[in-house]
Amino acid sequence: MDRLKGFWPFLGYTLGLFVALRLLHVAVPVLHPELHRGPYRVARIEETPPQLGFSPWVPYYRPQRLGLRPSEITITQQPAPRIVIAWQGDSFLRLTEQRGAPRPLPPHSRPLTSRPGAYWWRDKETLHAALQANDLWIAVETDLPERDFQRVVDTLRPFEELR
Amino acid sequence: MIPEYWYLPPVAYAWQVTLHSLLAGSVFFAWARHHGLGSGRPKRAILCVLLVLPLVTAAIPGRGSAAFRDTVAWLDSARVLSMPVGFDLHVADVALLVGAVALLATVWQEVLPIFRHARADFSNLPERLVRIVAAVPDADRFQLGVLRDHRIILATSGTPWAPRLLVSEGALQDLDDDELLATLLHERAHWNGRRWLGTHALYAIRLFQCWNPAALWTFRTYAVEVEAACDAEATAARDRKPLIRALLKVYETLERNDVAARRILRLRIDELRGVSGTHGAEVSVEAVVLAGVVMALLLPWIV
Repeated sequence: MDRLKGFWPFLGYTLGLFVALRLLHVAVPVLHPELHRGPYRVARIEETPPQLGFSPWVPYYRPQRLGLRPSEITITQQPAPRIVIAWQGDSFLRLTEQRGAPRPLPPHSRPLTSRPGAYWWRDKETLHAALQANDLWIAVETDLPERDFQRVVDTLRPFEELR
Repeated sequence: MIPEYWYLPPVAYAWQVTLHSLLAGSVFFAWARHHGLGSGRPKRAILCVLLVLPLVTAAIPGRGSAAFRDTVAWLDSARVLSMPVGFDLHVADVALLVGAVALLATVWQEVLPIFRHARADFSNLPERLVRIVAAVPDADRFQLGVLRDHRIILATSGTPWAPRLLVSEGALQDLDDDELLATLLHERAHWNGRRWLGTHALYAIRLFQCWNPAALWTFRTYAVEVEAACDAEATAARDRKPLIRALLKVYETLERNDVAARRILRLRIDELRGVSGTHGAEVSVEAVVLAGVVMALLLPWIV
């Protein structure tokens, strides 16, 4: 034990510091709840389920012109967890997903025949779709051609199922 | 929220190094104060651990993901960095400011002095200097040079394969024979063992962390420790008074506003006089190594 002379107070100071740091970690979101509200960016879709409390839905079919990976994944925690996943290549695709009741649809929206419960509409060059998937409300926006747009909506699946 | 660039790998790494340095430094500082730790190997070992360990713990991969930060990490520093401090600024902005100041201080204190050295004359050596140097062990190993400077300066340069001892004209003029010999023995001690290699390796490691204020403080303290170790070696089995007198003469020539240099000299003089109020034997080097291992295991959980 003489070889470790003087070591034990070090453990005491370390313990004290780490307890203080943990208190800080827990206290900041309590004292400043707005700080953890977001939006904040996430690098990979794999990281999002623990933060959202659900697995985001992504299309199995993604044309090459969207690019290989999402260009941006943004999470907002409050008032309810919400995620925006965007691909940006020669064309763009943006998915917005959150739990909750369906949003009002524009009057010119029409049912999407290939996917029951889904509606779509066109707004200048942008195609929109909105659908309820389990307890998620998903909005799709893209400038892809109509045929690709339809296949994207048709192949939307929970990310966990596509891995 | 903190700016998105904070999550870029180089920026995130730089912050993690600083954070781990500050946390480990706080614990080691409190520990050293607890024991009243004086100059010696344990203190130098602590400073080495403080300079090197954060570079390693901050580089451990897989700690930057949001999932790790939220659910696994002991402390997610992003929470603290995003706290407001007023004037629409956040802790992150203050951290950036401190990093910028540390960077400037590094350039000012560590880099620019390299280019400020006076030129040395290695040919026309005063007879008195040659006579005094003859009393230094291994004197023929060193190339002697005289600096054209009126201040009292004694320095080393070169490499362990071609070491040099440099003495200024001011030192030749103001120091008596005993004082000059004591200071030459001190400079010679800089070349002993692996001191030169260790100091230069840590200097490179410290420059790599040029933004890190904790590294700046740690390396300055390490440099003082090396000086104290060389003082101790130079005065082993000798009278300490000539070296103390020489240091006091240097102290008196310094400008009043040269606070850092004056403080270092005071510390060295106090250590030589045995009135530093610290003692070096309360902590073993083994305990420092174990403390480093504990820190290496804990710091990665802080992101």
